[in-house]
Amino acid sequence: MRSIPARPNWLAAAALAALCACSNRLAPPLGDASPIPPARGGTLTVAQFVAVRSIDPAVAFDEGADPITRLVFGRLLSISESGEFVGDLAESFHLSEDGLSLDLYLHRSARFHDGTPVTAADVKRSLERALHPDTPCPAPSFFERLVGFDAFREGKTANLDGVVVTAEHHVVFRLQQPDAAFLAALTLPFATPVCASAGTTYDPNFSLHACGAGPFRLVNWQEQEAIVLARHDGYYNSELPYLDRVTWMFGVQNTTQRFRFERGDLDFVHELSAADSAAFRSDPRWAPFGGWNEPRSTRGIFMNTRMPPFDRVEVRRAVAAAIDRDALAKLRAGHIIAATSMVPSGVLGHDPSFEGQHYDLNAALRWMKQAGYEYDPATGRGGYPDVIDYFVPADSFDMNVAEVFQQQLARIGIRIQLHAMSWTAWLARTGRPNESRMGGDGWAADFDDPSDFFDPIFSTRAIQPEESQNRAFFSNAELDRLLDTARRELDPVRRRALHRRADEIVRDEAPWAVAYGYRYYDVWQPYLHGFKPHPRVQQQVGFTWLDEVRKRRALQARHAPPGSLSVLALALSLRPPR
Amino acid sequence: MKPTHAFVRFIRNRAALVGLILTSFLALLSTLGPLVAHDPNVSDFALGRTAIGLPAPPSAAHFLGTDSLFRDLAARLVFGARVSLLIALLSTLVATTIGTAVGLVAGYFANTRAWLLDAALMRLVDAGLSFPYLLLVMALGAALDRTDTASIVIVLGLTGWLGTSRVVRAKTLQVRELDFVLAARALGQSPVRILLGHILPNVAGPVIVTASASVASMILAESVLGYLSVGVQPPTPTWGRMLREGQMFLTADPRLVAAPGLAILTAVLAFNLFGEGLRDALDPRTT
Repeated sequence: MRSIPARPNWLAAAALAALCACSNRLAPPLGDASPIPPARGGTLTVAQFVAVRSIDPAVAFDEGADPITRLVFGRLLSISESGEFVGDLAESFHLSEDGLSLDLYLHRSARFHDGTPVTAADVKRSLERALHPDTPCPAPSFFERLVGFDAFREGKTANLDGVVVTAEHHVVFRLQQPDAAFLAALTLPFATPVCASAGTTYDPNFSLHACGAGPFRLVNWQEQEAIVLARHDGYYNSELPYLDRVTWMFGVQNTTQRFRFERGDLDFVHELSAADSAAFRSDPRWAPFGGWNEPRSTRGIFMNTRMPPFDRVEVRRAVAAAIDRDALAKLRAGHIIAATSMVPSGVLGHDPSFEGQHYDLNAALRWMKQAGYEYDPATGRGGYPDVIDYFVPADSFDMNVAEVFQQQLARIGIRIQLHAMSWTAWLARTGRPNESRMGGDGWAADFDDPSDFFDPIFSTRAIQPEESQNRAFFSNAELDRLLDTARRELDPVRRRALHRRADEIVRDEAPWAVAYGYRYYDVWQPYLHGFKPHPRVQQQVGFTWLDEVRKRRALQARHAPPGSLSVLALALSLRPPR
Repeated sequence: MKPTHAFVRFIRNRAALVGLILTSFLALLSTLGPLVAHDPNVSDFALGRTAIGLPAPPSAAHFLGTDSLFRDLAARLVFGARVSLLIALLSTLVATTIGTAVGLVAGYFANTRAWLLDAALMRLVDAGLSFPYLLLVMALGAALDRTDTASIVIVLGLTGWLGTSRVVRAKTLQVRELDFVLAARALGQSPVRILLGHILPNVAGPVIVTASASVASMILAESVLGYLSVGVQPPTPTWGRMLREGQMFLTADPRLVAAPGLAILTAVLAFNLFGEGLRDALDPRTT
């Protein structure tokens, strides 16, 4: 039978249009984009929704804090647009042929915000501070191949033997075994040098008067509201940065960000809603001033492999096969990229030819039958008998996605009940072994290496009694062996093959139902120069410069009274004083 | 005052009639609407976003279009009416029961040897009223680990009885001095029997009026909880949550906000007009 195509209901449409005679029309860009040479001055204003809890590089390890810690602390190494490791505070570096030693030379001109020079001893002190047993570093295992790591973490030695200061600006990292991800680890905040005032262990108050060697120094931090940064004149590259100040605001919803951006209160916007992003993308006036970021995260459903029914691999496979990823992609067209494997396309090692988890409703029903939970979609009989709690952070996009998962899993006889909670509660409760059976999860790239998408979330050593990053509590001896081998393996081809096998294990054992990756669309005003979305690093706005004159003129022109009103205003302004 | 007089006064009051018609319409919508509407929790992924990324617009298949998850907006509105009205009515029942009981007891024992009971209850009411109502409701809503219809009814019911108790107490103070109450007391009837058999029927008028107005504030409170994500958990549709989900399309596709917004406006207006009409009809001063 031919179905009736959906037609617009003109009466309802007209009534609603009359009710709300408004549209998503955007204000024009402020000024024009005539190129100007880099010039110093101006304040860049940016906003985000989440408030940063800490910018201490020893503990700040989240997407919200990352762009700010980059501005304040810089990094020893960073990643170029083509994905190569390049020096940042390190002028140069050299990895030995056997992969057991890394020589790193610091810029001699680098100064901390307190004026003291950045030395190799500072690098050693800062890393020891981050990895100190008393410091709640969220991911010390990135450095576990350093000589003396275990003894230092257990408090048996006062120093980390694997970090050797050989000269004022030369530090050597010695490894017990080759570690293909060690260069990537040096791009993390934990390895960044901090001032001596930071102390030898983590101090929660350090964040409030943070002191590093990055291009900007902290001026003021009003918690939950904004961080104000000012140019650091002792930055190793004396030409940079150009901006006088950066104001980073918190708690600003994406809709509000859009309006403030149009008004010129914000110079750059990263967190656009899907509708606003579409409006900017479809407006030719804004086309030159917007760009996509590459997806650098993978999101999906974790299933606790220690709790029923997900202790049965058949049920996990059924869930993975029941997720219609193409339908999800429709929720935020362009932003959501259907994912079938763990490594997202914005990260080195992504293999587009990999055949990962995919939607197959019949296969999902077969897996349910094999698990003993046969379900008949026609009658709705059968399936898993209990309702399963699905843990999800409240007010997140994950919540929307979970509502769709709920529908998709109902088709195979798995009934889930959404349990929304705060982000903090979600972190705590899903990180305990026997508390949550399933929930929404995601992993954003910490560095540009595929190991980041397996080691911290699927290895046995990532299982903790509290705050476990391995929320599926998945333990697989073959995967553990593979990950260890891959970490030692320096040949990129062989290493890629090992990670591909790891991806196959995750696909087949399905501790996660991999669902999608998310990418952002950035928009900036024409008077902001030197910015384009970096394929590896989000919101890299530190080395931009502003055309203050054009911004001022554009704002004046926008707010000038039109036509005859301007003549009247001129006449009034010329009226002789009484 | 004869009931027929009150009825005549009520139907002569145009505003009250509008309130009655609107509340009847909402009651019909929430009871019969779900029988013909789409499933409010099922997405129609055969549809797609518009060229500029907006949810599907109104069509023959979806009278008001869909929300951002491709669910039928009209169905969610209708089911939302059921949830909102159910919560509002049940929580009003809880609040009115508690408020009436407290008001009766406090009023009956005021200025007697058991005056301490009245004083304690009224100070409790004073303390409760000193908190901003919505803040109190939000705090309780946020404190609950899981919120469903029952817990929202309890939260709203336990926080919404304060005003009713004041009104009932004042009326009880008047009624308890009337001759038939004194006669009942002289005959040795117990306080419980006097309160339930003689005083309660005579304070029923103000209680009904307060309750009908309370329904409006309960609808509003439930919407606020839903808007702030501390109400009934998704995917259950509620008007407040729909408002929140639609706000990101405020300028691009206002129907997503206008539909639940108008529903809340209509419901609150309807119950307020109905309640005021009842008050005018039952108020002895106008007889």
